[in-house]
Amino acid sequence: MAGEIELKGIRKTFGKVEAVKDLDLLVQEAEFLVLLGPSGCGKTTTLRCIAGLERVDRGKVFIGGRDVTELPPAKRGIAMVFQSYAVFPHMTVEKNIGFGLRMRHLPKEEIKKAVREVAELLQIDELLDRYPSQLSGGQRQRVAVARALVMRPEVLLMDEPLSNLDALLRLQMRAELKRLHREIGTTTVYVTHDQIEALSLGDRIAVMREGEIVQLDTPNEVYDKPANVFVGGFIGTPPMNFLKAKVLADDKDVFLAIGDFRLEVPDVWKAHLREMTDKTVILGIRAENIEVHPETNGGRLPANVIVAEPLGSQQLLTVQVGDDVLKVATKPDLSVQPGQAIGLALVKDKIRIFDVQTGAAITFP
Amino acid sequence: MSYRYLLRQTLIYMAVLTLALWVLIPILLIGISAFTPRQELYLWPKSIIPSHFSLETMRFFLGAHGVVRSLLNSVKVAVLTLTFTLAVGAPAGYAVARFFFRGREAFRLGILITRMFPTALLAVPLAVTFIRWGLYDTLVGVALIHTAMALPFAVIITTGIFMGVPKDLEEAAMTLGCSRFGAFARVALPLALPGLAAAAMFTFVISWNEVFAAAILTVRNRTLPAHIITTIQASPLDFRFAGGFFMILPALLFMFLIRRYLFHMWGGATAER
Repeated sequence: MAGEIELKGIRKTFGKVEAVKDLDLLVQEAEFLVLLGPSGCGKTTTLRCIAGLERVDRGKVFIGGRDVTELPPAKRGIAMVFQSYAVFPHMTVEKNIGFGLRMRHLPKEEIKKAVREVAELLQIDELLDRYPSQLSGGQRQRVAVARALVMRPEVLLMDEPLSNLDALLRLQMRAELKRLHREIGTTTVYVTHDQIEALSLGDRIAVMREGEIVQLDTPNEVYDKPANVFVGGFIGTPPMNFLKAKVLADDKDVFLAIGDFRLEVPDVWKAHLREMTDKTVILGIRAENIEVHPETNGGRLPANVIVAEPLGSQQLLTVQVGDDVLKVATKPDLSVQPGQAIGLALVKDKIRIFDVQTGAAITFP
Repeated sequence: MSYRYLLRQTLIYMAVLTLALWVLIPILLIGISAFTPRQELYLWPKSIIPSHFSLETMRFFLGAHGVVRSLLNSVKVAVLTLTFTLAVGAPAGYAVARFFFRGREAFRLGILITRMFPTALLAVPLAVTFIRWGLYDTLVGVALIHTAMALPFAVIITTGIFMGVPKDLEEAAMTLGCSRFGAFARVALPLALPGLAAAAMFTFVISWNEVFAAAILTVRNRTLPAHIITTIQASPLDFRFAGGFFMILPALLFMFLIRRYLFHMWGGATAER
């Protein structure tokens, strides 16, 4: 209960722009929740509303069961890590980390001890006497995290904390943040536009778009069962493939038609799909759920290779199917040439279908 | 290193040299003259290097009637101006730098309008108003006018300074337990201090050098420039040089001290972090 966050119908507008539209969200205690979305989707605004750096126009914010809607950031029991780190340039690392505790008027000895402990946790105890200008980006990042953690907040808020680090450091720090969360167990809300970060860190991911949460699920669910075309296209490298398909039915069977090709569907779908006969749907499938066969016959979806990109652990093919272009992941040693005709087999259980108009996933109970 | 490149460089350096000499030669002449013995002032041709250093001229200037008194007046007015200007200008600059409000851009431009009216045009109405308010011939009155003159620059300069202090820093302080004001006092202000000091010196120099309003709005309580301008016609040459040197001094010191921060003022460049 202590670190639980609840947002009830919060709304925030800037002039005519609705940054957050009547958003509801419940973050469990000790949960690591990631707010994920493209820039301008309202994820940072949502975080700032939790922090109290923005006043909500409407709705309520609860932290640990306490209504904090009208409270300033200082009284919300939160700590925040900023994208720019926001490390105070005129204070040493030690003063930076101890800043919040000094605001609480704790005894000097106690502050010193707490600062040392958290600095050791983040492996920056050697740097306590330095000024931020003498630190690297990664070290400043650690100072910012230490400064937040030393407060022992009920809730830890992070706004794209890794986006200013170079790729290798980002990878390291990502694992470190995950370790820290496991050790400390503070409820964390983490904002990012990087879907890999979201998948790797989050207990749950809230995918946001245009001020609304479009899907709130575990990373695996979000990846495997996107709630709509947007989520499927936003998450995953490469994004989910989409192609137009038509529901066809005869006396015996129901299937999806891609051009002349008839695609089998899972048995549980059949009864429901029969009611949608002759409708067009969007079929979604991930690159790794498509198998490539060098021969085109034998009930395979015919395709033409446009580009083959070896990526080390796998090979990524760009292929043409009718009017659609698909990405297909294959083993790195599969030998194919651009222009070659190949046959594709779609893994039946991994197919998703979406409504053509709304883009929403069509699911069957 | 083509021929054209060399030519370009030569022309640029020549232009720079001309400009520098244009400014420096008068300063140098005044400086030298202020420290040469009286008799040498009238010699011709003049030597660029003074024959020997002498405080005689300066001593004569400072001993002249009314000089010390007006000097003190000038200091008082400048300090008052500086206080008023920073008290009003710094918060205004902070507001423009930090908050989006209706008419912000209009304000930023509009503040310069106060500098559109020549002081000569305002002098008579001002004198009349000041007499009515009992501010005529007072140092506070002169300081108020100087504040009005310095304020637009102060606002523009402090806006640049506070824009150079990232907003994130104050927000971080707020999430760490500071109130809005606490975050300003503990984070934004210390970081802005060097720049604010530069703005303060700039204001001081504006007030120190202002002559017209000071001359019109005072009779007995003259500031130094007002005193010099009203007595200069009747003064000997050495008095003029010494006075001139004294007027230049603060501006020179100021320039040496704040060269670094000038970039802040004109460019709105971001602060070092």
